[in-house]
Order: sequence, then structure tokens, then C-alpha cells
Amino acid sequence: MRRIPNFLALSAILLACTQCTITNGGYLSDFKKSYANVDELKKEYPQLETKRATPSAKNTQPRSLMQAAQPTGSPYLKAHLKNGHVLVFTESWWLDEERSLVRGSALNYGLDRRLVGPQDSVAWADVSLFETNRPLPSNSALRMASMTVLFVADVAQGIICFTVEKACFGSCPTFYLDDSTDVRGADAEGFSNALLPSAAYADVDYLGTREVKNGTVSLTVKNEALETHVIQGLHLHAISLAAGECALQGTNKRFYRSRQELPLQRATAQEGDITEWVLARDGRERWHPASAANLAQKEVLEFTFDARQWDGLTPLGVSVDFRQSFVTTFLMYSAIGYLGTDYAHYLARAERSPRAVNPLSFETGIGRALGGLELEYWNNQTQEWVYVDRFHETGPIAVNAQTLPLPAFAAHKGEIRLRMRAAQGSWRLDRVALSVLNEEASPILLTPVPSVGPDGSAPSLPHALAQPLAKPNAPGAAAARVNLPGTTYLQTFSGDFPSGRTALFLESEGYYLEWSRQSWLSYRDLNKFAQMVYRPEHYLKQVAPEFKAVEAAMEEVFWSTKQYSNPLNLSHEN
Amino acid sequence: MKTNLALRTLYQFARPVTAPIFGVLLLAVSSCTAPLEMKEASRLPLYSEVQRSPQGALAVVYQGFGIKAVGELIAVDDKRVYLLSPYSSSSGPRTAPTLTRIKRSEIEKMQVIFAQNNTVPLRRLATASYVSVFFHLFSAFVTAPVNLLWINGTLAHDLGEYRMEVSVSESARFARFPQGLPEGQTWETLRNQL
Repeated sequence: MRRIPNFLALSAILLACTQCTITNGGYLSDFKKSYANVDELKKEYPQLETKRATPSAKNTQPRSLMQAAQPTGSPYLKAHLKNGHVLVFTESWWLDEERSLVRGSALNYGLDRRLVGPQDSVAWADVSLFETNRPLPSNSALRMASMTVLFVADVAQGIICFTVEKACFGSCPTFYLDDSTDVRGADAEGFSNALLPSAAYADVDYLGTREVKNGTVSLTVKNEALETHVIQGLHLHAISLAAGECALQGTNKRFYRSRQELPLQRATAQEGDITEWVLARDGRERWHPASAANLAQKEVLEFTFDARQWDGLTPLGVSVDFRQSFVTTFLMYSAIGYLGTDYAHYLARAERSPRAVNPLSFETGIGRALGGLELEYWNNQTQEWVYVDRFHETGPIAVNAQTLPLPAFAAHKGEIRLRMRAAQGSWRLDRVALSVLNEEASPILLTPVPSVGPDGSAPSLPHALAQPLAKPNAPGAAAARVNLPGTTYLQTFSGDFPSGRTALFLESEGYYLEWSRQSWLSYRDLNKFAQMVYRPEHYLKQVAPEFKAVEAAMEEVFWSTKQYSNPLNLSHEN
Repeated sequence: MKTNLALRTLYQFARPVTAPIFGVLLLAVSSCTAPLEMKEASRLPLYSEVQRSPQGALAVVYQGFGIKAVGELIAVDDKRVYLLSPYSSSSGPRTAPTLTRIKRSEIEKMQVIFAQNNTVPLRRLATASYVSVFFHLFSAFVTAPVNLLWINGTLAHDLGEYRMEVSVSESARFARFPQGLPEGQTWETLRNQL
């Protein structure tokens, strides 16, 4: 959608260009010339004297009178007779000076311009005006170019949609804190792993730090994919910040205040130095393409921090801003495709049976094979890397900001070395930092209140759903808000909270049902699905070439096929 | 806060319809500017055939106050311009043409359209593009209006006529009778013979 203005602008430019060629007819002005008598005609065409000796030769205009790029075709001669008829010499003509005739192969048209018949000569004296015409160039080159560009783009889009349809856009519930509702700027995506009612869980995402006034915050909630979103609860956790302070969300579901960050000295990956990519949260993400042999192939990233300003006692936490790539998106669509028409049946069975396996679960199946961002630190005393824990949050849209508290350990020579192991091509890192966790923070809860229109009026579409949820946070699906594709509304939160700089964290609880597509049914292959579930390591090797074939296109296709306000579009990732 | 909320809400509401509205407006503008003489211009000879055509060009005569006369330019003399309308190709069927005279002094400006382009390849490409949209699956929601806009923008205006703005005197050479009315013919005698 964001590209539509570009398309429109391009169309408008093409439109303008094509119109320009029409009204400016200057280059056409000499296409037709008139001669009052045969003497003027001879003056213009002196070589006609020689034509008389070789009457079978074709007549041509002098090259100097022709446009350089134009062929020197026949200068069609029209002899307008005094009686109103016209003779059109279409092939060859010449002047017979002995008999004062124009001779050649002509067609005679009457006053009404109906064909009278062929004629091979006309007396000069019967002609009141001669007219020559040169061939006209085509003026549709730009139009042809324009149409060709469009056609080629259409064909390419068709090919992409048929071959890379698993790249089509999808999202979980997306939340926007600021005015931007461009999905690339989504501040959070909720409960991405909850594919079934029984898998519903509460997901906490960092929204950002803003100036909050009157204890009120509004969020835009959207369903931008072919999914049914069931939101069972929404809360905001707010932490008031002092100057120079930031709030961090721990992977242990705790919040921290931090007033110090240890400088990142160096970050390296297989491609070399990546320090500039992970130094700050600036939207420049470090990502490396997946392996063509195995989607689960791991890569190692190393980070060295300057710990000389650390007191050695205050706990530390590794803060990472990250999101997934499209590997899991691809795998999820593949799973649904493999199930074909059994997809709904599988969902129902999985919902009924506690033993059913979610193929993309982080605990089992492919999710476990792919793994998360596994963190280790270098213990200089034992001279080994020590595993700490992992970061994991599903979703390729919103960037997650999480902090993993480190166990107590000592820096060595003023340095702290960390490394991450992760499936190559599966993760995008925007920022990696080592934060000093000065103290634990207790956030204040902001609860949902009925949204109001811009003038303070009662909720109405599209600001809110027609029937606002009376108890948005009541347990159970019966009290949930069900958002169908295309839903957009403002959700306001309120609480007893001081104005000022505030870190906001969204807690969203619920689940969603991914819609299958007609075109995916052709992918039905239960054997592949079984491989995915029971032999994920083997499957990830098998499917790697298929993913690599579309990997480059997925980024472009994913974003370009996404719809902002209409339910017609694509879907999701796990 | 309320102002901000109002703007944001308005934006939320307006954004989904912005692109379609823009597209419809562009379509409307391009349709509005499509000249009335388009239908008659479609009977003009192709640019590659016009050298063999015995007929005059299609003239568009503007007489001020929005009055416009369209027809085949028959002749131009010292006082008048003669138009035959509707324009009919020499080989096609003819429907009761009318020869009209317009005083030169009443003419504000004049255009001649003397040929048209071969639009068959363009139309085929347009058709192929439209058909290909069906293969765009869900993204057709975006690509269909883009195609509509693009193709309309490219083809709707005039399909590539050969059009020139000329003075009344210059227009004579594009007339069926560039020498003026044939000898012995007057408007009265000629009108029954065309």
C-alpha cells in the first residue's frame, strides 16, 4: 500500500508524457506540402527530370527534406483537379514534359471521395493543386513503452504470486502507538504463537518511551491479515522514568530500571565486523541469508563490551532489539499448505487433544530445531563459554526489545565477552547492548476504557467496534473481542499515573486463527507435514533449497502485498 | 491531546480511501478531458495510410463560448470554412452528412486531426495486462486499480491522434479541396454531391 502513491505518481508522469506527444504537432507540419502548379513541383523535386528517363524507378524525396530517422518512402502525390476530383498516385509517378502530363499509377476519387477508378495520367492543365505527403512516424512509442512496462510488471507479479505465495503478508494483532500505521512501524504484535484457543497466552511487548499526559494513552489496534483475532485482554504497563533512565523488559517477566550502558567495543559475525549494525536501535538490522543446505544451520556472533566503568557488583543484562526473518513465515504457510483441506480438521483435533503437536512450537518440532538467540558468556576462570538462556519472540514485523539478566560474574581485563548462537538467516538484530540493571521496576497498570471519537463523542465506527467490549479483560473467550480482517480501532487506556516521560509495555492476551487459502490447497502433502512434526531437523535440510529460491523475493513480496484496511489480503507468520 | 486524537482518528478514517479516491479522481479527470471528437477521430485513416487517403482532415473549430464544430474539413476560402459532419471514411457507410459554413471571423482557434495511430497492439497489451491481474491472487486488490489507472492514463485521452493546432489559412492544405471550392461549385451545389 505504501507503494501505491509511487505507482500513482509514475502513472501520472507517464500520463503527462504520453499527452505531451500529442498536442505538440510541430514535427508533423511538413508532412504535407502543396504546390500551386507543376513548376513549383519541379522546383522542389529537380531530380524528377531524371525520372523521366527511367520511369519505372520509384520516386523519392530529397533526403535533406526528410527527418533523419525517417525512411525515404514514396512521396505520395495527390493531384487535386479543378473539377474537385483527386488523383492519388500511390506507387510511382513522373512528369511527362513532352505531353505536359503527370503519369503513373493513380486512383481517381470523385467529389464525394468515392472511388471512380484507376487512371494513369492527368494533364497539368487540369490540376489546380499538387500535394505531396511523406510517411508519418508512429507517435505511440511512449505509449507502447508504458504498456509494455505495465505488462511486464503484471506478468512478473503473477509469477511471484504463484511461486512465492507463501510470502504473502500476515501479522498477528498489530498495535500502533504513534500516528504511523504503516506496518513497518508497528510497535508491537501480540501473541504470535497462539494458533489455537487452548494456546492463548499473554504476550508483553515494549512499545516505546513517550510523554504521557492525564494518565491516558491511546493505541491503534489492527487486524491486517486473513486471520481471526481473539483478544482476551489488553493492558498497558507504564513505568515513569527519571532523566537519564530507561526501563527494560526482562525475559524473566520482570522490569528493570537502568541508568548505565556498557559501551560495545566490537561485534563480529561470519561476514566480519558488524558493530555499526548493532550499535543503536536505528532500523539498520544485521541479518545474514539462510544456509542453502540447512535452515537450522547455526551461526555465531561475538560481542565485546568495555566494562571498565562497571562497578562489578550491580547486575547486568543483555538488551537485544530483534525480530524474526521470514523463515518461520515460510514454514507456517508450508505447514498449512501441507495439511490442505485437513487444516481445519487438524486445528480441531489439536484443540481437543493435549497430545497434539504444534509443528512450529518452540518447545517441540521445528521451533525447537531452529532455536532462539542463545546467549553465552566467556568465563575466564574456567576458560569456557557458559550458556545463559535464550531470547525468543515470534514475529517478523515489530521489533522486540528484551533484556536477559546475566548471572554474577567478573569481567576480565575490563572486558566482557558474549556470544550468540542462532539459526543463520532466522533473526534480525537491530541493537545489542549490555545494560546495568540498577533496580527492579514496578509498573503501573493502565486498563482499557471505552474509546471515544475525536470530539469526545461515544464510540462509533471506525473508531471502535460497534459493540465495545464491556469487560475486555474478563477471562474466557466469551468476553473476548473478536477482530476480523480489516478491523481498525483506537483503544484507550487510563490509570492513576503521573504525567511525564514514561516507558510503555503492552500486555496482550488471546489467540488467533490463521485462514487457509484456496491456492494453498494444492500444496497438500501429509508426508511432508509428518516430517515437519517428527523429523524437523531432516525437514529443515530438505526445504532449505525451496526457501532459498524465494528468500530474496520474500521481503519485497511480504510488504508489498500487505493490505492496510481491507480483508482481501494474505496472511501471517507463526 | 484531543486535537491529536482527532487528527489521528481522521487520518485512520481517511487513509484506506485515499488511494481509491485519488484513482477515481484521476480517472474522472482523464475522462473529462477526453475530447468530444474522439468518436469521429476513430474513423480517420491510420498514420501509415493517410498518404493515400483522398479525404480531408478532421477539423475541430472553436468559436468561443464553448461552441465547437467538428467535421471533415472540406475547403477554406476567403470568408468561410466548410465542414462536413459527421466524418465518414471513404470506404465506410455514410449517414446523411451535413455541409456547414463557418465564417472565418467567428473562429477563435482551430485544430486538425489528420490520422490516428494503430491502437491494436496497445489494446492487446492492455487486455493482456488486465487478464494477467487475475493471476495476482490476493495482491490483485492493489494491482487491479493500478492497472486501471495506468491503462486509462495511457489510452483514454485520444489514442495517439495526429493533431495540430493551425491557423485558418494553414488549415487549407488539410482540406479535402485544398485549392478551395472546386471550379463551378458553390456551397449550395456542393452540399448535395458530398
